[in-house]
Amino acid sequence: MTAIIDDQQLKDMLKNPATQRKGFELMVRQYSEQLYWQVRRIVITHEDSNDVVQNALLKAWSSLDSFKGDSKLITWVSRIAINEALDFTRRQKNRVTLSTDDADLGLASRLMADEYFDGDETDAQLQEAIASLPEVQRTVFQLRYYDEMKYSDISRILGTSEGGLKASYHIAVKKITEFFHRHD
Amino acid sequence: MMYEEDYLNSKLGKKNPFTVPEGYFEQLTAQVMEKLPEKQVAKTATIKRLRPWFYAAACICIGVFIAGIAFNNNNDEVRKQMQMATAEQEYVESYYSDSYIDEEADYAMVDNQDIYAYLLAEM
Repeated sequence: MTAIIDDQQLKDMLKNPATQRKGFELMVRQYSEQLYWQVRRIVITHEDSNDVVQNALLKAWSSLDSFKGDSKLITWVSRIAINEALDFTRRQKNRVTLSTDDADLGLASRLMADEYFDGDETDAQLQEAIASLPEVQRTVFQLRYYDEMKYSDISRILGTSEGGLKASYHIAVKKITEFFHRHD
Repeated sequence: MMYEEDYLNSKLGKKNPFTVPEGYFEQLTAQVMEKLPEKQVAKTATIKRLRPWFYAAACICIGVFIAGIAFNNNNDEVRKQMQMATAEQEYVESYYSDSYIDEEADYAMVDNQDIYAYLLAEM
Protein backbone atom coordinates (compact mmCIF):
# COMPACT_ATOMS: atom_id res chain seq x y z
CA MET A 1 0.00 0.00 0.00
CA THR A 2 1.63 3.25 -1.11
CA ALA A 3 1.75 6.20 1.27
CA ILE A 4 -1.06 8.72 1.03
CA ILE A 5 0.09 11.93 -0.65
CA ASP A 6 -0.67 15.26 0.99
CA ASP A 7 -3.55 17.12 -0.65
CA GLN A 8 -1.61 20.38 -1.05
CA GLN A 9 1.31 18.53 -2.60
CA LEU A 10 -1.01 16.97 -5.17
CA LYS A 11 -2.64 20.33 -5.93
CA ASP A 12 0.79 21.89 -6.51
CA MET A 13 1.75 19.09 -8.88
CA LEU A 14 -1.50 19.53 -10.82
CA LYS A 15 -0.98 23.28 -11.18
CA ASN A 16 2.50 22.88 -12.67
CA PRO A 17 2.40 21.78 -16.35
CA ALA A 18 5.64 19.83 -15.92
CA THR A 19 4.27 17.63 -13.12
CA GLN A 20 0.59 17.73 -14.04
CA ARG A 21 0.29 14.33 -15.66
CA LYS A 22 2.26 12.60 -12.91
CA GLY A 23 0.18 14.36 -10.28
CA PHE A 24 -3.03 13.27 -11.97
CA GLU A 25 -1.85 9.67 -12.06
CA LEU A 26 -1.08 9.78 -8.34
CA MET A 27 -4.50 11.28 -7.69
CA VAL A 28 -6.21 8.55 -9.69
CA ARG A 29 -4.23 5.84 -7.92
CA GLN A 30 -5.15 7.31 -4.55
CA TYR A 31 -8.83 8.04 -5.09
CA SER A 32 -10.18 5.91 -7.93
CA GLU A 33 -11.39 3.08 -5.67
CA GLN A 34 -13.31 5.47 -3.41
CA LEU A 35 -14.78 7.20 -6.44
CA TYR A 36 -15.72 3.88 -7.99
CA TRP A 37 -17.78 2.86 -4.94
CA GLN A 38 -19.54 6.22 -4.80
CA VAL A 39 -20.50 5.68 -8.41
CA ARG A 40 -21.37 1.99 -7.99
CA ARG A 41 -23.84 2.67 -5.19
CA ILE A 42 -25.70 5.01 -7.57
CA VAL A 43 -25.30 3.17 -10.84
CA ILE A 44 -25.53 -0.39 -9.40
CA THR A 45 -23.90 -2.56 -12.11
CA HIS A 46 -20.12 -3.02 -12.43
CA GLU A 47 -19.99 -2.49 -16.22
CA ASP A 48 -21.82 0.85 -16.06
CA SER A 49 -19.85 1.97 -13.02
CA ASN A 50 -16.58 1.25 -14.80
CA ASP A 51 -17.68 3.42 -17.75
CA VAL A 52 -18.97 6.23 -15.56
CA VAL A 53 -15.95 6.47 -13.29
CA GLN A 54 -13.54 6.51 -16.24
CA ASN A 55 -15.57 9.19 -18.04
CA ALA A 56 -15.63 11.22 -14.85
CA LEU A 57 -11.84 11.03 -14.48
CA LEU A 58 -11.37 12.11 -18.11
CA LYS A 59 -13.68 15.05 -17.46
CA ALA A 60 -11.67 15.94 -14.37
CA TRP A 61 -8.50 15.96 -16.46
CA SER A 62 -9.92 18.30 -19.09
CA SER A 63 -11.38 20.69 -16.51
CA LEU A 64 -8.24 20.85 -14.33
CA ASP A 65 -7.68 24.55 -15.07
CA SER A 66 -11.13 25.38 -13.69
CA PHE A 67 -10.25 23.88 -10.30
CA LYS A 68 -9.34 26.84 -8.07
CA GLY A 69 -7.94 24.69 -5.27
CA ASP A 70 -10.48 26.07 -2.79
CA SER A 71 -11.74 22.63 -1.74
CA LYS A 72 -10.14 19.26 -1.08
CA LEU A 73 -9.18 17.40 -4.25
CA ILE A 74 -11.37 14.44 -3.30
CA THR A 75 -14.41 16.73 -2.90
CA TRP A 76 -13.81 18.30 -6.32
CA VAL A 77 -13.36 15.01 -8.14
CA SER A 78 -16.21 13.35 -6.18
CA ARG A 79 -18.50 16.08 -7.39
CA ILE A 80 -17.66 15.28 -11.00
CA ALA A 81 -18.01 11.52 -10.46
CA ILE A 82 -21.30 11.65 -8.56
CA ASN A 83 -22.91 14.07 -10.98
CA GLU A 84 -21.77 11.89 -13.85
CA ALA A 85 -23.39 8.90 -12.10
CA LEU A 86 -26.63 10.80 -11.45
CA ASP A 87 -26.78 11.95 -15.09
CA PHE A 88 -26.33 8.35 -16.13
CA THR A 89 -29.23 7.09 -14.02
CA ARG A 90 -31.46 9.92 -15.24
CA ARG A 91 -30.74 8.97 -18.86
CA GLN A 92 -31.38 5.33 -17.99
CA LYS A 93 -34.74 6.16 -16.42
CA ASN A 94 -35.75 8.06 -19.55
CA ARG A 95 -34.86 5.13 -21.76
CA VAL A 96 -36.66 2.48 -19.71
CA THR A 97 -40.32 3.34 -20.14
CA LEU A 98 -42.35 0.73 -18.33
CA SER A 99 -46.10 0.71 -17.98
CA THR A 100 -45.69 1.65 -14.33
CA ASP A 101 -43.92 4.79 -13.09
CA ASP A 102 -41.41 2.80 -11.04
CA ALA A 103 -38.43 2.34 -13.33
CA ASP A 104 -36.67 0.33 -10.65
CA LEU A 105 -39.24 -2.42 -10.73
CA GLY A 106 -37.30 -5.64 -11.05
CA LEU A 107 -34.01 -4.23 -9.78
CA ALA A 108 -33.97 -6.79 -6.96
CA SER A 109 -34.42 -9.68 -9.42
CA ARG A 110 -31.81 -8.23 -11.78
CA LEU A 111 -29.35 -7.96 -8.89
CA MET A 112 -29.89 -11.55 -7.79
CA ALA A 113 -28.88 -12.59 -11.33
CA ASP A 114 -25.87 -10.23 -11.43
CA GLU A 115 -22.50 -12.00 -11.09
CA TYR A 116 -21.01 -9.01 -9.28
CA PHE A 117 -23.69 -8.94 -6.59
CA ASP A 118 -22.96 -10.99 -3.49
CA GLY A 119 -25.97 -10.26 -1.32
CA ASP A 120 -29.10 -12.22 -0.48
CA GLU A 121 -32.73 -11.48 -1.31
CA THR A 122 -33.07 -8.87 1.47
CA ASP A 123 -29.91 -7.10 0.34
CA ALA A 124 -31.26 -6.97 -3.20
CA GLN A 125 -34.61 -5.59 -2.04
CA LEU A 126 -32.84 -3.01 0.06
CA GLN A 127 -30.98 -1.79 -3.02
CA GLU A 128 -34.30 -1.51 -4.81
CA ALA A 129 -35.73 0.50 -1.90
CA ILE A 130 -32.74 2.87 -1.86
CA ALA A 131 -32.86 3.28 -5.65
CA SER A 132 -36.53 4.26 -5.46
CA LEU A 133 -35.79 7.21 -3.12
CA PRO A 134 -35.80 10.71 -4.61
CA GLU A 135 -32.36 11.58 -5.94
CA VAL A 136 -31.20 13.92 -3.17
CA GLN A 137 -32.41 11.62 -0.36
CA ARG A 138 -30.75 8.65 -1.94
CA THR A 139 -27.41 10.36 -2.60
CA VAL A 140 -27.11 12.11 0.76
CA PHE A 141 -27.94 8.85 2.50
CA GLN A 142 -25.26 6.95 0.64
CA LEU A 143 -22.58 9.64 1.05
CA ARG A 144 -23.34 10.16 4.71
CA TYR A 145 -23.89 6.58 5.74
CA TYR A 146 -21.28 4.75 3.66
CA ASP A 147 -18.69 7.49 3.00
CA GLU A 148 -19.25 9.32 6.30
CA MET A 149 -18.94 12.55 4.39
CA LYS A 150 -19.46 15.92 6.09
CA TYR A 151 -22.63 17.82 5.18
CA SER A 152 -20.51 20.75 4.00
CA ASP A 153 -18.75 18.52 1.47
CA ILE A 154 -22.01 16.88 0.34
CA SER A 155 -23.42 20.39 -0.11
CA ARG A 156 -20.53 21.24 -2.45
CA ILE A 157 -21.10 18.06 -4.39
CA LEU A 158 -24.88 18.24 -4.83
CA GLY A 159 -25.32 22.02 -4.76
CA THR A 160 -28.03 21.66 -2.10
CA SER A 161 -28.05 23.60 1.18
CA GLU A 162 -26.80 21.83 4.30
CA GLY A 163 -30.18 22.28 5.97
CA GLY A 164 -31.92 20.67 3.00
CA LEU A 165 -29.44 17.81 3.08
CA LYS A 166 -29.98 17.10 6.78
CA ALA A 167 -33.72 17.00 6.28
CA SER A 168 -33.35 14.68 3.29
CA TYR A 169 -31.01 12.42 5.22
CA HIS A 170 -33.46 12.04 8.11
CA ILE A 171 -36.28 11.18 5.73
CA ALA A 172 -34.08 8.61 3.94
CA VAL A 173 -33.06 6.97 7.23
CA LYS A 174 -36.73 6.78 8.27
CA LYS A 175 -37.79 5.13 5.00
CA ILE A 176 -34.97 2.60 5.07
CA THR A 177 -35.72 1.77 8.70
CA GLU A 178 -39.34 1.19 7.70
CA PHE A 179 -38.11 -1.15 4.99
CA PHE A 180 -36.35 -3.30 7.55
CA HIS A 181 -39.36 -3.30 9.86
CA ARG A 182 -41.47 -4.60 6.97
CA HIS A 183 -38.94 -7.34 6.23
CA ASP A 184 -38.33 -8.46 9.79
CA MET B 1 -32.09 10.00 14.90
CA MET B 2 -29.33 8.28 16.84
CA TYR B 3 -31.66 5.39 17.65
CA GLU B 4 -32.59 4.95 14.02
CA GLU B 5 -29.00 5.12 12.90
CA ASP B 6 -27.99 2.55 15.50
CA TYR B 7 -30.79 0.34 14.29
CA LEU B 8 -29.62 0.71 10.73
CA ASN B 9 -26.08 -0.05 11.79
CA SER B 10 -27.20 -3.30 13.32
CA LYS B 11 -29.30 -4.27 10.31
CA LEU B 12 -27.28 -2.80 7.50
CA GLY B 13 -23.81 -2.54 8.96
CA LYS B 14 -21.49 -1.13 6.38
CA LYS B 15 -21.96 -4.28 4.38
CA ASN B 16 -21.19 -3.96 0.72
CA PRO B 17 -23.00 -6.56 -1.41
CA PHE B 18 -21.30 -5.40 -4.59
CA THR B 19 -18.15 -7.09 -5.94
CA VAL B 20 -15.65 -6.36 -8.70
CA PRO B 21 -13.65 -8.57 -11.07
CA GLU B 22 -10.31 -9.90 -9.81
CA GLY B 23 -7.53 -7.26 -10.01
CA TYR B 24 -9.89 -4.57 -11.24
CA PHE B 25 -8.57 -1.65 -9.19
CA GLU B 26 -4.95 -2.53 -9.83
CA GLN B 27 -5.42 -2.03 -13.57
CA LEU B 28 -7.91 0.86 -13.38
CA THR B 29 -5.30 3.62 -13.01
CA ALA B 30 -3.29 2.36 -15.99
CA GLN B 31 -6.47 2.11 -18.08
CA VAL B 32 -7.46 5.71 -17.30
CA MET B 33 -3.96 7.12 -17.91
CA GLU B 34 -3.86 5.39 -21.30
CA LYS B 35 -7.01 7.25 -22.35
CA LEU B 36 -5.79 10.63 -21.10
CA PRO B 37 -5.17 13.05 -24.00
CA GLU B 38 -1.90 15.02 -24.13
CA LYS B 39 -1.58 18.48 -22.59
CA GLN B 40 -5.34 19.01 -22.61
CA VAL B 41 -5.13 21.92 -20.20
CA ALA B 42 -2.70 24.07 -22.21
CA LYS B 43 -4.65 23.63 -25.44
CA THR B 44 -7.90 24.71 -23.86
CA ALA B 45 -6.27 27.77 -22.29
CA THR B 46 -4.73 28.89 -25.59
CA ILE B 47 -8.01 28.61 -27.47
CA LYS B 48 -9.81 30.44 -24.67
CA ARG B 49 -7.22 33.22 -24.77
CA LEU B 50 -7.38 33.69 -28.54
CA ARG B 51 -11.13 33.44 -28.89
CA PRO B 52 -11.84 37.22 -28.29
CA TRP B 53 -9.32 38.02 -31.04
CA PHE B 54 -11.08 35.69 -33.45
CA TYR B 55 -14.35 37.43 -32.72
CA ALA B 56 -12.74 40.87 -33.21
CA ALA B 57 -11.15 39.82 -36.50
CA ALA B 58 -14.47 38.39 -37.70
CA CYS B 59 -16.26 41.66 -36.86
CA ILE B 60 -13.69 43.72 -38.70
CA CYS B 61 -13.90 41.51 -41.77
CA ILE B 62 -17.68 41.74 -41.81
CA GLY B 63 -17.45 45.50 -41.33
CA VAL B 64 -15.03 45.89 -44.23
CA PHE B 65 -17.21 43.70 -46.41
CA ILE B 66 -20.33 45.74 -45.71
CA ALA B 67 -18.47 49.01 -46.17
CA GLY B 68 -17.09 47.69 -49.43
CA ILE B 69 -20.57 46.91 -50.77
CA ALA B 70 -21.93 50.25 -49.62
CA PHE B 71 -18.99 52.15 -51.08
CA ASN B 72 -19.29 50.27 -54.35
CA ASN B 73 -22.94 51.27 -54.64
CA ASN B 74 -22.02 54.96 -54.11
CA ASN B 75 -19.27 54.71 -56.73
CA ASP B 76 -21.76 53.58 -59.37
CA GLU B 77 -23.94 56.57 -58.54
CA VAL B 78 -21.04 58.97 -58.83
CA ARG B 79 -19.92 57.39 -62.06
CA LYS B 80 -23.42 57.73 -63.51
CA GLN B 81 -23.62 61.35 -62.49
CA MET B 82 -20.21 61.98 -63.95
CA GLN B 83 -21.27 60.36 -67.19
CA MET B 84 -24.39 62.46 -67.28
CA ALA B 85 -22.39 65.60 -66.59
CA THR B 86 -19.98 64.69 -69.37
CA ALA B 87 -22.85 64.09 -71.75
CA GLU B 88 -24.35 67.45 -70.86
CA GLN B 89 -21.03 69.10 -71.35
CA GLU B 90 -20.63 67.52 -74.75
CA TYR B 91 -24.12 68.63 -75.64
CA VAL B 92 -23.44 72.19 -74.55
CA GLU B 93 -20.11 72.19 -76.36
CA SER B 94 -21.71 70.97 -79.53
CA TYR B 95 -24.21 73.75 -79.21
CA TYR B 96 -21.48 76.31 -79.53
CA SER B 97 -19.39 74.49 -82.15
CA ASP B 98 -18.52 76.12 -85.46
CA SER B 99 -20.29 73.61 -87.61
CA TYR B 100 -23.49 74.40 -85.81
CA ILE B 101 -23.18 78.13 -86.41
CA ASP B 102 -22.42 77.60 -90.08
CA GLU B 103 -25.52 75.54 -90.44
CA GLU B 104 -27.60 78.19 -88.79
CA ALA B 105 -26.09 80.94 -90.91
CA ASP B 106 -26.92 79.10 -94.12
CA TYR B 107 -30.45 78.58 -92.91
CA ALA B 108 -30.96 82.24 -92.14
CA MET B 109 -29.42 83.20 -95.54
CA VAL B 110 -27.09 85.60 -93.84
CA ASP B 111 -23.64 86.22 -95.29
CA ASN B 112 -20.52 87.52 -93.65
CA GLN B 113 -21.12 91.17 -94.70
CA ASP B 114 -24.42 91.15 -92.92
CA ILE B 115 -22.88 89.66 -89.83
CA TYR B 116 -20.12 92.31 -89.67
CA ALA B 117 -22.68 95.12 -90.16
CA TYR B 118 -24.81 93.64 -87.39
CA LEU B 119 -21.91 93.33 -85.01
CA LEU B 120 -20.75 96.91 -85.70
CA ALA B 121 -24.23 98.17 -85.08
CA GLU B 122 -24.21 96.43 -81.68
CA MET B 123 -21.02 98.17 -80.55
